[in-house]
Amino acid sequence: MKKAIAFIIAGILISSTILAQADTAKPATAKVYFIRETGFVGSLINFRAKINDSVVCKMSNKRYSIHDIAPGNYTFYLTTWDMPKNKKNGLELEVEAGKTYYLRMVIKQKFFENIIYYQEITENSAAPLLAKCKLEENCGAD
Amino acid sequence: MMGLTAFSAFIDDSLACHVHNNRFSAHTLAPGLHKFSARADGKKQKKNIQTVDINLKAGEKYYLVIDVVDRYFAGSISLIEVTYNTAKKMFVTLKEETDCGL
Repeated sequence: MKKAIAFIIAGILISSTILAQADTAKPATAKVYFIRETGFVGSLINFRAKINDSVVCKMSNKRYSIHDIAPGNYTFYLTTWDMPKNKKNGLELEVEAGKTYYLRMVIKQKFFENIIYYQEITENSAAPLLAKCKLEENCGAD
Repeated sequence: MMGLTAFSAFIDDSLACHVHNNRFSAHTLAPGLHKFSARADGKKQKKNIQTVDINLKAGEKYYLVIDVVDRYFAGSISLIEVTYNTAKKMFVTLKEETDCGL
């Protein structure tokens, strides 16, 4: 009888430990990749990656960065030294915990100006781009 | 750049559509693995061209953007699979390519 009770208590302890581990393993943030592979045009200029008006990364060409972001609604947009206001071309994204998002930086030539913006792409398309680019670490630090 | 050229879009090595600038085309395909690619012109797919391989699932929609990146001496054309979130913003300004020029 004592053995049976000890066995049941041990079972409860083990299952509660497993449940606690499952709770801690669940990520509280999302991973967001910024990928810049924009070709020749504007390649000497750093892009400033902004999330809700805060600069989180200064990005050179052929680079990517990874950011852990809390869930919520954000506007992702890009600026440069000569284009400090560019929120109108921003990408609004609802970020969910545990998911991975791939945001590709795009530069498009118009008649009299260039516009820069984000495209959210799939992992399928992100993989070959990431292979061409280098990881930019601490890109938010001055 | 290259706004006057109709790009050729290929599905599984066959020409699927001549897509003009600011246009889109929609195609219904059987589920399974399909290869997608694009080039500036022509009716045959180039050899050694980079393809986007997607294992299509029934009932789902996939969005591929024909993208031009300026290189030093020429532009390179590729296909990028984008999410619905990006595609819905693009559809606002795009018109449907009705006959695809085939």
